[in-house]
Amino acid sequence: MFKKTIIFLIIFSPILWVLIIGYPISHNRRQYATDDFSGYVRALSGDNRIKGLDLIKLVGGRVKKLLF
Amino acid sequence: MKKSWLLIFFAYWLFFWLIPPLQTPDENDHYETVYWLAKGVYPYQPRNRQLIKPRFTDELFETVDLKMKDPNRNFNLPDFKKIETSRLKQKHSYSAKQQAGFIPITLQSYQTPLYHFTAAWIFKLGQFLRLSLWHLSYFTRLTSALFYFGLVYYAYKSLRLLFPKKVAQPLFLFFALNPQVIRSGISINPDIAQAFLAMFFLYLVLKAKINTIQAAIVAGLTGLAKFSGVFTAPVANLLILLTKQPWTQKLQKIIFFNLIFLLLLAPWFYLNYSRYGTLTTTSGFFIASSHQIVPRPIGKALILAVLDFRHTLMHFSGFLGAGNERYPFKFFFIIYTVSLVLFGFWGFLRFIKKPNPYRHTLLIYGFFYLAFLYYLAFFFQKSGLNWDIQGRYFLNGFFLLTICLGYIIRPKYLAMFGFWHYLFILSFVLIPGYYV
Repeated sequence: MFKKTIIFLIIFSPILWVLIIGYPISHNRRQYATDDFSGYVRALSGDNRIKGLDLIKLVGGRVKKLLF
Repeated sequence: MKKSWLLIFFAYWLFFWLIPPLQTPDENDHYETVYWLAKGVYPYQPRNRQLIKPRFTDELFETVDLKMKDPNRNFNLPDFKKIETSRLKQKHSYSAKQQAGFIPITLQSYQTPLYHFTAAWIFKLGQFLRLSLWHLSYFTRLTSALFYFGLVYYAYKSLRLLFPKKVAQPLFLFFALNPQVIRSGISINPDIAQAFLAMFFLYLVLKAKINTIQAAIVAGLTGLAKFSGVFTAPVANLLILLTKQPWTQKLQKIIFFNLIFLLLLAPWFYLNYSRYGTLTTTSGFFIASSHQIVPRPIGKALILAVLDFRHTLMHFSGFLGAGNERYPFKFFFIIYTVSLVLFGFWGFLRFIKKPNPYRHTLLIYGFFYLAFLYYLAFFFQKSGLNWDIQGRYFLNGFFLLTICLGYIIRPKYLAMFGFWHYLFILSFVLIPGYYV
């Protein structure tokens, strides 16, 4: 059960998706979040994406600004 | 069970730190009420649609920038430069002169005040610790944290009465990890206090280890946390009526219950009457509305009030933001809402068919809870106020839905979905909604 859960979480974890695939940061990045999923996919096709370590740094930096 | 609690603990605090201040509808007015109560002043309601300025929360409101929005976008990201350099992070209080200028009027002062009084003590503790005004807003949210953990604790205890551990535990995870439940437990708002006390009341009546005085005190406090908590009074009255006792004894208990219940609410009634000439303060609703109010015919209002609950359920798909403007992809929240209604109703049918010693108590509790919210939705529609029944008003209703879902969907899958849903909202609503 525990193994299955871990596999499930690794495959389906949305946080992993965004770390691997990233967020679009083109002009329409504010829309995709409330658009349908295809809006997100369309926005991803642009060149400007933020993912992986850069994403963690960006979010971490902004959270730091917010809290400290 | 320890792992479940750890997961909930981690999930809660992650949202707590990631959600900026004032990100729930009306949160600034609740915070304003807390400020005045901490100063020993019971704030007033506005008499008309006046501009209420200057206020304690003005600078915080401006810093988080809740009102400025690019018309082409659903929402803006916070201005992190403005937040980083905000003077609120340096100062611990406003000068005496500034404080003297603040107006003790808030749009939320019509609410019953138990939550705000509790938060006022935590606010005062934050002031005593010399926290900056920015961090004081986070510290005051600890009031909601207390009520959130109380709510999920009694949700689990109630689930354990109804189900064996291996069913109760995943259902508990599904309930406690819901982003709407967590969000309500973070923002400064009385709904979480009402939900906790109503859950505590439910647990006590399910256990049947409650006497009339205790029931009256808990019901009274629930009403004092938020007026919608008064639904607990008819629940208690009916449960007393259904007990196998002589009629004289029942009557005695009912009189005793209602006397204590009303006595607890009496100071609030008195305050309203002495200030505004009415026992409750629904006039505040009309003043707070910025649109033109056109009353509706009864028939239309009765139907629209039912349809209003679509918003309520929709919010549990993971709506965030001060105007609920940050939400998951449309197809997700529509499918989520439809599934919740269908599976919830299907589960309800199974629940009423299956013999269960707690069935009639839950039915009575659910009936009066829904009846109150339906009346509220009807009132909003009939009067033309057009306010919807928000998800945060329905936390106990979501708990009842969780029970029904437990009859239809394997609890293990519900828990897995609950955790996935939490991560989904974190990844596709919260982070892009505030940080990217």
